[in-house]
Amino acid sequence: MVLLSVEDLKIRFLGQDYNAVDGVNFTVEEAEILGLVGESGAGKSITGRSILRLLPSNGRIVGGRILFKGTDLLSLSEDDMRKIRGKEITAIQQDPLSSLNPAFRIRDQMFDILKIHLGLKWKEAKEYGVKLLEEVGIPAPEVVLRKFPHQLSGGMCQRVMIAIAFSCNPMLVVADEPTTALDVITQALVVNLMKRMREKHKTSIIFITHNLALASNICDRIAVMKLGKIVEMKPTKELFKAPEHPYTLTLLEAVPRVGQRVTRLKEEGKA
Amino acid sequence: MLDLEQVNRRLTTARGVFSLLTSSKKILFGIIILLVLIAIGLLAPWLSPFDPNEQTLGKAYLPPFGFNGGDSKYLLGTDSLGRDILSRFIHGASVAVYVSVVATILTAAIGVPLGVTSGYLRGKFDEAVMRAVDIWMSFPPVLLAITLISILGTGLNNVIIAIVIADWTRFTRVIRSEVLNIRERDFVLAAKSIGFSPLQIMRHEVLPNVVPLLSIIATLEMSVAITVEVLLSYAGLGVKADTPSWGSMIADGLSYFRLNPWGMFIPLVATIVVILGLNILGDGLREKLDPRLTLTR
Repeated sequence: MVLLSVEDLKIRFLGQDYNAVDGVNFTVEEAEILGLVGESGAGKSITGRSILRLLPSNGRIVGGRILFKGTDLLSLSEDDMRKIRGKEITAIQQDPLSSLNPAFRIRDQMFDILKIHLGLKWKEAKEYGVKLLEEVGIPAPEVVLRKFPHQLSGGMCQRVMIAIAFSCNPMLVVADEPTTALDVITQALVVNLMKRMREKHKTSIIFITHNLALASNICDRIAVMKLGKIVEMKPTKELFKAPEHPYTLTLLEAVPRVGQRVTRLKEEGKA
Repeated sequence: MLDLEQVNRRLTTARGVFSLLTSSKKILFGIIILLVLIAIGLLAPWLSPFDPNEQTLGKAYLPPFGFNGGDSKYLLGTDSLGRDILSRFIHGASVAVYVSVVATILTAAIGVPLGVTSGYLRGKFDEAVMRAVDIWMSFPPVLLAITLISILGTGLNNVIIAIVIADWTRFTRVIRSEVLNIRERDFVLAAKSIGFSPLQIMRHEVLPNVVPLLSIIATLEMSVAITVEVLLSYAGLGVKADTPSWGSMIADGLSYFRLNPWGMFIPLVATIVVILGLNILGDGLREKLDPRLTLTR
């Protein structure tokens, strides 16, 4: 079943005469992980943020529809949208350390959300919070709950963020480069964790990344973005077996292989 | 811009706060002066040997004890009406504490909410607040305070009202500019994406993160409040005549300067030391809490 369908989405930044996202179409099935891949400035993050209607203040959605369970998110009032954020659609940001409020202990930040969205009392929130942290593989959750973000490592913080994101059983998680700030081993942990959460909660995930290897590992389907457009969208295996668009080919070839000497990366169209 | 991670490392635990306060000589110096002032101010009724307004005309113009003609009953001597200078000095300290603390709390109570909301919401509201601040700041603050006193009349609480009305812009401006920076941070975006309302974001995400900056402005505001009170009282526009204030003591002392200079010197030196202490405290806090300054040394 189609959970989210983005139709002909166009986003423009004030003072620019072109669309940063220019007529993007894609759908996300239930419990599917869709990868949005592309170079910096391709419009991946903006597309992701537009689904939550949290564009930077100078960004405007100038056309298209974003249908979530049949309702156009762009037609909702800000109040209705706020009820959807966190509960049905939520996001994981790039930098886990700066995504947590440095002024509060982990427990205070987590419990706020549980109280607001699930109406839990302090004690219930605590039990649930411990369970959530155990689920994302944090040893000694009671200790971590008492810590401040700066006392935790990047991987720990990102796991806390994932726990927070999945706390209200959302139907869709927009993960904007959730592993970019982490080292490779932690990346693998986080990616596996997200897969596991998908299995368990039947959540759809939009996984935004510029890392093709990572995308091939986690995504069911991949959409390749370039200059605000989706140039190719296919199931992961097919994309890697038979890339059609020259840009996809360039992206694939830009990944260096161990043992291969590369002096200069190929540019598009000069294969 | 303040480095929030670094700052909060310091401010979120009691041990951190203690180590912050003892980490620099400037902060320590300022804190000690502030604590001594507050202690004297709060304990004034028990510390002062005489009623500050009790006149003994036969014992006027006495120098401090130990000088030629000094009296052991009047440790710091007496003024033109034979009032004990030590007692007046002690009660003057409690006036200074009262004015600085209350005026600072009230200016913060007006300035901080305005600064946070205008910085976070932006748009027309921000525009309106900032233009009001601009217009307000085009008046010289002391002149504004004098004008206000001439409307309100003298008295301790009117002095405080005048300071608050003349000085709320300090908090609004500085807090707003810090909020402009905080609102773009990832944790605010994260809060939005889990469905926090603007009010919840301002209270839970933004406000706690301006506390370090707030502590710096508050110490400076305290010193401004004391200065303005002393200034107004010196000009006879401050507290009522029966309230002992360092400003009015300086003004009195000036009139009988040749007969007993101590009446002027003591409150004058006290004022200077307190203002200096508060400014050094604010300076030290800024050095510790603002990484741009710590990097340059």
